[in-house]
Amino acid sequence: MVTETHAPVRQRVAPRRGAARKYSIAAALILVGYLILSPLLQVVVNAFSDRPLYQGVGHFSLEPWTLLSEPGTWTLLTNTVAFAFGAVCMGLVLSLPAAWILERTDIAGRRVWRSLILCGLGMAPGVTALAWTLLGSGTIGAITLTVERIPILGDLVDINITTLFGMAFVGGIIAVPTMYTLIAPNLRRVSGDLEEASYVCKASRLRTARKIILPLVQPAVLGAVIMMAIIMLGTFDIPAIVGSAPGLQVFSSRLYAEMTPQIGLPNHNRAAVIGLLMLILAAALIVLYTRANGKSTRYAVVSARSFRLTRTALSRRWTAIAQLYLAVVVTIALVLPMAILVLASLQPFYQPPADSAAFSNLSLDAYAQLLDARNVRRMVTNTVLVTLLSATLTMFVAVGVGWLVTRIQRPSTSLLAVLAFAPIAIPGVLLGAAIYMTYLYLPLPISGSITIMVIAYLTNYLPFSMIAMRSGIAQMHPSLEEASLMSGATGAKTFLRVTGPLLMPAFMAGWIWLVAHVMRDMNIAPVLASPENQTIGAFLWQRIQDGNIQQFSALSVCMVTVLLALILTWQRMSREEG
Amino acid sequence: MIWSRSESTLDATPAKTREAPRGSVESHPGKTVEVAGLYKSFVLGRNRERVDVLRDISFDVGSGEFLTLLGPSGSGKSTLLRCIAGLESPDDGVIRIGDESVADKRRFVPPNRRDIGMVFQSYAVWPHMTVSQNVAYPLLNARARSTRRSSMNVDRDVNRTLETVGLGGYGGRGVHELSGGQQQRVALARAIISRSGLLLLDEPLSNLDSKLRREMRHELRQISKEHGLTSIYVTHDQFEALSMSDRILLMRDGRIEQQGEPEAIYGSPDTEFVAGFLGNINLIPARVLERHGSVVIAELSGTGETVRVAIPRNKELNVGEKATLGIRTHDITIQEAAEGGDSSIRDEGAPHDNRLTGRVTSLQFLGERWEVHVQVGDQEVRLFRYRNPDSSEGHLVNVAFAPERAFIFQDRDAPHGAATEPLPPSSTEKRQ
Ligand SMILES: Nc1ncnc2c1ncn2[C@@H]1O[C@H](COP(=O)(O)OP(=O)(O)O)[C@@H](O)[C@H]1O
Ligand SMILES: [Mg+2]
Repeated sequence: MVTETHAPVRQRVAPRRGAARKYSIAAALILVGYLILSPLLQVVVNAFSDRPLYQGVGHFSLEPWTLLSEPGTWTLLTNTVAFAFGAVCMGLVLSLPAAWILERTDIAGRRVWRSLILCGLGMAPGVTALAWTLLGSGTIGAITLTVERIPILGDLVDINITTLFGMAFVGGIIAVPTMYTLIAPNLRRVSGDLEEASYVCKASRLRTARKIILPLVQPAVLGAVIMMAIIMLGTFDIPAIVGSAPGLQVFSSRLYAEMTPQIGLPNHNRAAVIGLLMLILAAALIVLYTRANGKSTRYAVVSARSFRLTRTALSRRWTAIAQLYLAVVVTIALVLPMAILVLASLQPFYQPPADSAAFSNLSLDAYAQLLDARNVRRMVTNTVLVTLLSATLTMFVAVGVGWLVTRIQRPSTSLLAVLAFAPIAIPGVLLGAAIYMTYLYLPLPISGSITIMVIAYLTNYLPFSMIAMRSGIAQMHPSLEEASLMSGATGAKTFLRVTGPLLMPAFMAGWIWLVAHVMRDMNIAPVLASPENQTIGAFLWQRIQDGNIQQFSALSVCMVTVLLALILTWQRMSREEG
Repeated sequence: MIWSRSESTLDATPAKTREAPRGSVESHPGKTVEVAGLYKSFVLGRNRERVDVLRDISFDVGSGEFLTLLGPSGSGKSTLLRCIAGLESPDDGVIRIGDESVADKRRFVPPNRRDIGMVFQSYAVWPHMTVSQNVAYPLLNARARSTRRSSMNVDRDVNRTLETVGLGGYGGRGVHELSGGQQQRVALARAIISRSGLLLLDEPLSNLDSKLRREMRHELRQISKEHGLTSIYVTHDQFEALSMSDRILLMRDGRIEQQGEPEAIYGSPDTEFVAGFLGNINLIPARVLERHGSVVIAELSGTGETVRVAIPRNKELNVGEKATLGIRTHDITIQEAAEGGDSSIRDEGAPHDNRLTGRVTSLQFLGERWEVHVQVGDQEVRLFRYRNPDSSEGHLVNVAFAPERAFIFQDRDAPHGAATEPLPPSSTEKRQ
């Protein structure tokens, strides 16, 4: 640590700072270690136990694993893989060309399109899933019934969203904003020179795209694909909603069913076995990713040296195709789902808009009921509390841990990084279930409280906010901090005056992303819900189980409106700043 | 015109050889290029202003010629080169490569159908490919169109081209393992492998350190000549331009300011801008007092001194108007003068040389030479000494230069006062 040139100053500062650093690393290790290891331990112990851990430590048993010999388990596995894989492919089909068009061509309306695509963050998976069920289910789907009426087409095409393909389709829609955010900056970073050099080398546009640009963004695309696949693995609301009618189950929806069965007691041991299987799948994906990107130091050359932004001029025909494509993406992700939800929220009972009867009895009753109901007010308070607390707390932990991890190179901080990133491999619904088990077992009175939800979201989203903050921290040169420290400021003052303001944009971006994700979550909330801590996610899930489509729609319209307002405000703010 | 230049004496790298191309196996005719009436503008900035970047550019490049586009940054050199490559489409004008019109009113041939080689300033080598893959890429693309080449031929061509640029045996390496200079060579190999007959280079040496840059200058020219390539080379470095080119095209604000062979353009710059850009020159404001055929008498502002300057007989010059005197730093001699301004002492220069008296204000040792600043009246004169100057700071000195070595430039935007009748060269001659 002590360098020759700075020796006198460092010697004065080092002992005090050294001790402080040691304590902070230890504290961070304990916190993050506890957050991640306690639920994991629950899963492992429960999976090899003859009774749930909260009833006391039982005996070692392989009994829960008889699940594997049941006939449905293989279908479960293939369904899960098909859903995750299909959703990711669909997400790629919808986001990669969009990112390409918006970053590398001279398309008009770039800003508006980009903003609309990112508005997709406001659409909760469960909300989109229900909206698309209303749009495309074989029996009540608005689109299905409309298409059936068209003479020849109706006989040829059979639209039914309540299938594995339909699940993947909805998953793909949900994946668009995140995958776009992960891929677009990398596409932008491929310098125009690399593209133009290919043209000069007699390659056509298509060949240049295939041989030069795609290979250069391949690591980013692969990263987005793997991350999305793990998220899909842990998404239970889409399969649960879309697959409920035909009885299609995947690991995540099965896990939820084991935790909260309609009849009988929850079976934590079998849930833990499914959880372990999910973990193995996620780990396999991560191994795949690191193997594929192991030789990726060669990509470091990209973006070095002079960068030239080039936007390919599109011909008139391609401009039309590109605009149409973007319009389709926004329509299926945003416009159609919102339209059907607004309609459903105005109808007393859902009726597909295939005949005029659907529009005869519209009223705002559902919204009025929401305003009156007592449990709704409580739910809103809970939601606001949980969302703000989780987002803020997670961002602060991410800043602290991120700072330690990027600035101090020691074995202990490497371990800290591994622990903090580990939750990325734990599918969301599993984490919810494991945390539920943990606080059923531990003698802490937080089961069914807001605290347990905050803990769950903190654990689940820590890696994502670390990713958001880490680049921000790495961009800041240590000399900025050192300059402040040497001018006599204390560590805390330095952070407030120098480090903090510099991190603000990255912090805000991460915070907004978290707020949107925590608020719209329908994976963790239903598992941890009790009457006291019910948030909007659990509330919406409850409406689905009751078949109350009207209230579900009204509330989701409200939620999406709030989220869209938040996203748009943030977009405007960040545009004004830079 | 193509290859008939005399031995250069201006070159900073004396080792450079300027022989006619040796009978090389690869030799094949370079393509000619014709540019006529080219215009290009860009829409810039927030207020969407349209700015002309190229204005009425016309020039020809002969087969096998090494032409340099020289000019300050932002003068439109790269844009011009990119128009020739097809990476920009001109607003107006015609570009012909060989016998084919590649850009005119009706036609625009995209870059991948122009059959050219190009080296980018950033090298633009693809980081995800090995050296061989980078170099083979144009061949494989050409093959996609005419499936003539076998893969064995491709390998052979790649290896031979790598040998040519001095990268023999590096084929299997990843480009990120190479130094900047080596990446530059990969880019060059990629540009010449398909034997297009036209090589475009956009400041290819600007990212290299100065020693490597000097070596590469020589090598680039040699490779281009040995392969009989027509080359268009963009640079803002006057030394590169002077030492490498058959012909220089000096650009300013999107226009061609002057063109000619390096010696010609250095030896007789048309304008103050050209003289200044090629460097090593004192530019001193002056006024033209008299003209006698090819001799002009001018007064240097703020000094009270008059000097004689020899100019071409047919050059137009307005007597009585403001002008600028140019003297290259290496054309000035310096001599200690006796205190009191007696300039009659022994002197290095010829008897009819101009002499100015001034004081040495600074003396810098630069290794192989000294740079001396002499204050003459209100003006400062900069000159180089290659031997230890006897004078030191504060000394009174005489500086001298021959009338044939000085230039006089009429100020372009000087107002043409009614009082001063412009005198065409012919009328002055008659008066004599
Ligand atoms: N693609 C472009 N869009 C807008 N302006 C451009 C573009 N390319 C070049 N320019 C402008 O054209 C002028 C000339 O640029 P360039 O040809 O690159 O000059 P040079 O290569 O001589 O330095 C500059 O003012 C530059 O800003
Ligand atoms: Mg340039």
